[in-house]
Amino acid sequence: MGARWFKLVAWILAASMTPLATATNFKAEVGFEVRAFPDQGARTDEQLFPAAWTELEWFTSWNGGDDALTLVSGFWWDAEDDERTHADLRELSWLHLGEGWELRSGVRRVFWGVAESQHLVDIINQSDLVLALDGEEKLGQPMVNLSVERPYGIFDFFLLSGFRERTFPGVDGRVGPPFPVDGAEYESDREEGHLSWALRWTHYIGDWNFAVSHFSGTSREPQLRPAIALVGGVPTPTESLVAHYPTIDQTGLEAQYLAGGWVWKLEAISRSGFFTPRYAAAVFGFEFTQGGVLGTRSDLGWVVEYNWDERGDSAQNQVFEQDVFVAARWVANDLRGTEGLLGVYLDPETRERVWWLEASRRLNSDWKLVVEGRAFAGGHPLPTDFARLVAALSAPDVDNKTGYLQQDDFVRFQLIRYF
Amino acid sequence: MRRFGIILGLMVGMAAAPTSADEARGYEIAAEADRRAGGFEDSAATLRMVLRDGRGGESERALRIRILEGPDGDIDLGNKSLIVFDSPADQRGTALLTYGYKSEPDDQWLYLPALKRVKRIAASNKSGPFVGSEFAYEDFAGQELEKFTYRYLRDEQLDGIDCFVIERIPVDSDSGYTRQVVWLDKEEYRIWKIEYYDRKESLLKTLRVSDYRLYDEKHWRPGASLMVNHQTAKSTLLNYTDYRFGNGFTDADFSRNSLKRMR
Repeated sequence: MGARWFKLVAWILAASMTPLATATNFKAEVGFEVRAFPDQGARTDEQLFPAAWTELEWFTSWNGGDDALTLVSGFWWDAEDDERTHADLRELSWLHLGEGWELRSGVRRVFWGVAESQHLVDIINQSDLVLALDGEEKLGQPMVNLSVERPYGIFDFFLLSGFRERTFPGVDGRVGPPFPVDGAEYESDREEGHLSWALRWTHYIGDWNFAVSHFSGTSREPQLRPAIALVGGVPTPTESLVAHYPTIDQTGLEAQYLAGGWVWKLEAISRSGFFTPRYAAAVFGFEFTQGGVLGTRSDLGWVVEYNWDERGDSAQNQVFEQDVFVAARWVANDLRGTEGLLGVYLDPETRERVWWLEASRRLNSDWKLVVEGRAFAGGHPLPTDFARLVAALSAPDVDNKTGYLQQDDFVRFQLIRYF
Repeated sequence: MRRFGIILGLMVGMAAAPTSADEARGYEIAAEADRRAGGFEDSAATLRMVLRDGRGGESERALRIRILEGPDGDIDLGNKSLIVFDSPADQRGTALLTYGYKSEPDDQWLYLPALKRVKRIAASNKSGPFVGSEFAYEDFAGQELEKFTYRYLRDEQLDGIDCFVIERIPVDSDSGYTRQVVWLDKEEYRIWKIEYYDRKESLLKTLRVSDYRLYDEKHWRPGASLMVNHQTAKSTLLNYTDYRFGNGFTDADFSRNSLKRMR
């Protein structure tokens, strides 16, 4: 019966699409990685984390490309961390193209922003934090997005249903907060069912590019607090954290100006509802690229950005409240697409530093090697004693925001095969 | 615009001291070639690139290109083009949108599919290698008539074909070249060979174009072009297949939103 039903659906799909189909393609990647930590962690002694993943993408279009379906799904397996072993539907969306407008419905990923050191304005999707500390891995977000393109810019309207919780490493995982995150609490009575919405206008005039956006709904960024359990009727902190997701309003601005080899960038937000009165934050700076350095065919780029947050020290889980980011980006322009980036975040006041290394190179047309490194310096490891650790988490030391990361320097090797 | 080109040619010519008649003639030849290459409204093609590093190393790229011709007679708007990569596999889906202009640098946007990010990029590094190949960005786009001044050099046979040989000098000081020497056949004004001279005035690269075919009885297009870098012995072979004209493309097919739709 099941097989017959499946066959019927497959037949209907095939019959309805084939005559008009203009393009169908399938692609996949399989990756293997090892993360190596020189130090034992605060939560686990494990220093080697092998992992593997696969990502599949299927795309088909019909009506001469005016309708398209995209499916992207991924599965990640980690030898040590159960939370890192997960599957996600990154995209399952239908695109319909009209005269000057597009309607995109379903699970999708959307990126906003221009800066390199922090994605401040980007807010549509939740970060898949177990996979990437920089928030560049995103969970699929269910939405309806109407995009209207006019001579005076692109207008995007979003209705976002079905909130996704941020992922965190499990009790055996690294790199994560001092205790595993277990459970979520919402300001909205509708919890993860709360409907969020957003708008964005983006345009360019000459060498200027800019965007103005507004988001209203459940914050993608949570505040982590020690979970409290009643022990003998007494509220007592436990060895886990709860993610609190408030309802916020966030207005964002993105601007970029091109001047020769210089790219000037600004991202700024004004946010209300996030536990404190309305506040502003910004990241701004430049990227300067020299082509053909030292008589070679390489490009050398310099990225300098400043991260600022109006809340200053009281920005509890905002590490980048007054930080300078300096990085050099090297692109070899060779057959193998060799490139690398070495950067450092520096808090001039507390002297905390986060080193950032990313390099990649194709081995041949189907295989690629990626190396990443992170190193944390200038902070102090958090106490290991439970009571003192809970106290440290309840009243975080504003001059030691990277404290919980100090033992988590690591290097990551990834080998990726594309199909 | 044509008059402006001639005047500019004359001004540059006075410094270089050739006769103005050679400049007028060089411009006439380039303008005729430009006129004959145009009038196609839109086109699409599939490209295969073979990159050789001169030491036995080889790498391939596959890409698709769409071009929308700029409005006829417009003094500034040039062609719009969209390039999508099918290989190497890690770059699949990466797309480059270019709005060409006649008298100012092009506008360019790059779409990075892994991040879903549309990035406005500086077109000023036009002399940089295009995807690691021996073609620079400026060899690919920016071939508008107004981007050079011209000078007729001589008539010459190239592989038995009667050619005009003209020199063209990039107007933009960001160009990687001081001058280019171009061979065009007298019958159809098709480019068969270009020599590129670098900022030190030495011969940097030679492009040989071949396998011309006539499409729709009016559009001559090459089947292959080979760029050889004389200073590094590296080369890039470009094979064009699947030319299609009259696709009915509109500006909407070359919008920033369209970058994200390309597959």
